[in-house]
Amino acid sequence: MAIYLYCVLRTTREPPPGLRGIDAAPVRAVDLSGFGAWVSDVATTTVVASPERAQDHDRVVRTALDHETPLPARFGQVVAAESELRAAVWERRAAFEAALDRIDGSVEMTVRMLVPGGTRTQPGGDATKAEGEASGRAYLERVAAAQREERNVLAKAGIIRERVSSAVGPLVRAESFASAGAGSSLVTLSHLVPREHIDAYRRALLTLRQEDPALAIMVSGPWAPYSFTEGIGA
Amino acid sequence: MSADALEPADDDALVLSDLLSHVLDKGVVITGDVIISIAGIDLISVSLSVLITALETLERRSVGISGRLSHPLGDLSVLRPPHDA
Repeated sequence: MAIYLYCVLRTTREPPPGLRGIDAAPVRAVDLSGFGAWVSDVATTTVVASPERAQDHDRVVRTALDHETPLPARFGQVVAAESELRAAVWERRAAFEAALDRIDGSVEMTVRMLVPGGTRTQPGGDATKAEGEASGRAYLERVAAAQREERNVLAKAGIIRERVSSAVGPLVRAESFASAGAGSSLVTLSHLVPREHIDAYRRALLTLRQEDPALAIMVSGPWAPYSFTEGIGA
Repeated sequence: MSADALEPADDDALVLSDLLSHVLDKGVVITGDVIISIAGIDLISVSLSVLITALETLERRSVGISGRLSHPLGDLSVLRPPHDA
């Protein structure tokens, strides 16, 4: 039997009775000496991702978010025993402290946008690869073109990012920027938003959208701050 | 997302894709590799593709019907968090 981690909390708050996690296992709290964690038992130390299990994971994290802002674990964080979990958190306690301070009282809101001219399919793919390349020169020209296109897309992404960032800037504590891959059209902006500003944040984006109806953006949230766990790595 | 739907929250695949891209790709890491594929299909890549397709649909719809929306949210699409089972 192994232990699956959902989130780390400032407190040792118990989950509500009946809360189930991965594969319907009951969720319990673990005291990590200064922190709390919500965990459940799993059969093995390797948990293969599936849409259902991802939903199980997020449901537990979201339940914690109803009470306080947890540091969400990435899917699949499994240790062999509670002692291993304690050791892992203790080794990084300064980083956990800093991260919990940073996210306290906030949630994550996520904005997805398309960059004109970017790659619309296969995010994360390598645009420089081509099967059956006829010659070295053709390959180099293809690489150069891909690099030009990537710079072009990045420049456009920067402009769109700036517009969104300016619209919500006073309402957010932090921002995280991500592209789906080299030259991809999909840009994601994640914002750490104090709970009391969530409605104003949505209104600000609505205003931006109304000012430019051609700007295709989607907003989701509130999430636990999945994108604001930097500094805590394996 | 249908042509006249203003909130992709009605689209289960879209909501799930948004969830997958958060849960599988972000968050605290304390252990090693995580298996995020089923039968060789990378769930993160699939979820991002779904999001791109949804945004393209939104983009086309915005161009076509800009200024004619009367929904309280205008033409801003808001994904709601998934409901508990």
